Amino acid sequence: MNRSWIMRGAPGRWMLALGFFTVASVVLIIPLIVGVLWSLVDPDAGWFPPAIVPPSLSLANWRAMLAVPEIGQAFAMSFLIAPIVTALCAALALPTGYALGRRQLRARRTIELLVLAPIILPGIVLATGLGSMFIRLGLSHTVAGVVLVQTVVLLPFMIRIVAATFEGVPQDLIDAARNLGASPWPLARDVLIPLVRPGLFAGGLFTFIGSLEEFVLTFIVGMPYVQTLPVLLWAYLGGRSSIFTYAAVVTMVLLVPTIILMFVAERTLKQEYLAAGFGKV
Amino acid sequence: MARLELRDITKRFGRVAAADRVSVEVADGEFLTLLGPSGCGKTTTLRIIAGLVDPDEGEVLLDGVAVQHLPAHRRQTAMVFQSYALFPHMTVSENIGFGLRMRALSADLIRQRVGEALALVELEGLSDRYPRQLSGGQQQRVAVARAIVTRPKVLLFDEPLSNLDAKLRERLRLELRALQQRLGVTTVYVTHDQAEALALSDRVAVMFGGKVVEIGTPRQVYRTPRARVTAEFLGVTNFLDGQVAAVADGHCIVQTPLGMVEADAGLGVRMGEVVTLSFRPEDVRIGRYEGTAVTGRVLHASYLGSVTDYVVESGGITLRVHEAGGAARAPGEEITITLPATAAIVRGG
Repeated sequence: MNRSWIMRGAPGRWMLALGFFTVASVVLIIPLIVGVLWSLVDPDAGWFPPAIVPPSLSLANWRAMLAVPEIGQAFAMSFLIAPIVTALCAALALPTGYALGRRQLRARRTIELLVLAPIILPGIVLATGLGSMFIRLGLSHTVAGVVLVQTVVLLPFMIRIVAATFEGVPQDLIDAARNLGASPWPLARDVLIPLVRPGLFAGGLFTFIGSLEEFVLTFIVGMPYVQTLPVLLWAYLGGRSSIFTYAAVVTMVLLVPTIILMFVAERTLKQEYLAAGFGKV
Repeated sequence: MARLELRDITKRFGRVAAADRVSVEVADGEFLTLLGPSGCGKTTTLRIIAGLVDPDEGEVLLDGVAVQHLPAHRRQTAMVFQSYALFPHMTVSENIGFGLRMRALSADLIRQRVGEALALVELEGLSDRYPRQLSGGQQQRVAVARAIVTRPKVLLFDEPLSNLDAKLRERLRLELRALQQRLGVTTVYVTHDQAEALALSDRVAVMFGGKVVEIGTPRQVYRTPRARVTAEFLGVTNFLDGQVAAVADGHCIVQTPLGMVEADAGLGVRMGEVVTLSFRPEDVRIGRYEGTAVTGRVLHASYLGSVTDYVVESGGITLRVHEAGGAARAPGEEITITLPATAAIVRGG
């Protein structure tokens, strides 16, 4: 009985896995390989069709790029802004997520829509609107301005995830804490926040990476003084010339820490989820 | 330790009254059970005592002081939840110490009291485990320890045994009762399990449709129920309509289609009144004894182990009869049964 089920299920599963792998490799892995190859192209030989791989490889682009102070500065700027944006989003998403996830709000749908509005609006519309406003407020060309504008677009994701996590907290746990003498602040500190920590982690990761790769708003609000890695990337890819080789190096500089971060976060997240698992209820 | 009193507690959810003028007094150290089917308002009543639900009307008094306006965290009640509601991110000892930390006791005192509580529920070795690493029975004990460690004025239980298997449930039932008696803490216990209610309680309050229909000792509510719903809910029963033929000394004789049956007349029955009698299957004896004996025919027999459950038809009326012992009577067999020496008069539809 069991065996025949496996026999029947197996081809279907294999097909699914194969399909998934194909999509993943087309969308993710092949561009990644192409990116790595571009960063290693020998500038003297170049890489032109119909060659599938560059005729010769070298570290010349890397040497040239790492010699420019800009890339180090952009790296530092990116990794300064991302944690601040993440912390700010977390701090703002906690109360909002609680209200949306746990309170019986009459206007809940409307509030949710408003919260999501920055995602629904095209980035460029938001950028031009906020950009002119930020100039008047004196926030343009400042790190604070970039942090704020990134928070505006990334907060909705954070709120969604945190609200969903709040929704999943069993009411009995909150009741038990109150029953045992927890007034609102200790209730939040000792029970609610630890229980939504997996959501905060997941949302934080999303926000961190979102901040690292955010371009439109950072460019419009921050230029020319605040230059993050994506803005630097544009300098090599935008405008009239596209210097693929340098752009590829910047991409790798942006990508490698992000991937490492993903792995570390995934590990911790798993532990967190286990610890917060609501047990045998 | 405290005396708890509910006065005319009413709570409506929309149009439905979950609790409808509930008035109950629980004496110091008493174990009171709220018994009823799901949706009868027993859990709502319990949550009102804990302050987790605000009543629309009525008062909750602890030692004569109205507490219904106090928020839950200042009620000094401790509740054991059906789901146990253990904090998944805390170890056993952190869970148990939670209430003490909220009361800002010193770390030393917390450690000492948590240790005592762990010993009381026999979980000494498990203090560093997480709830998900415990069995259902162990989780239940942690929940009990977490509740009693704060030395609450009133201990509240919301169907704490319903997620356990039958054997364990019975054992923990005995332990709970022993623990409550040792601590002498005023306790309100909610269950839909009549055996649990009878075994644990000093008194049982039977609830239906948001109302307390009857309060009494387990013996009273089982043997001499006043309400038809009580008799029906607490196990199997026989109803028999009849007319009061004589009243004297708090007793009366009721003329039923099967003959005369004596009943308790505590409710002030009048001569000639048509009443419903209730008596338990184990009160009907097979064979001819003193009292009213009639002949009947066995319709069904099911062997339950400790007793055999018979459905007996006599004069167009079917009765449930329980007989202990090994005698096996086959369906269709003619038998003589003796009606109980005394029955209860029940009221209500």
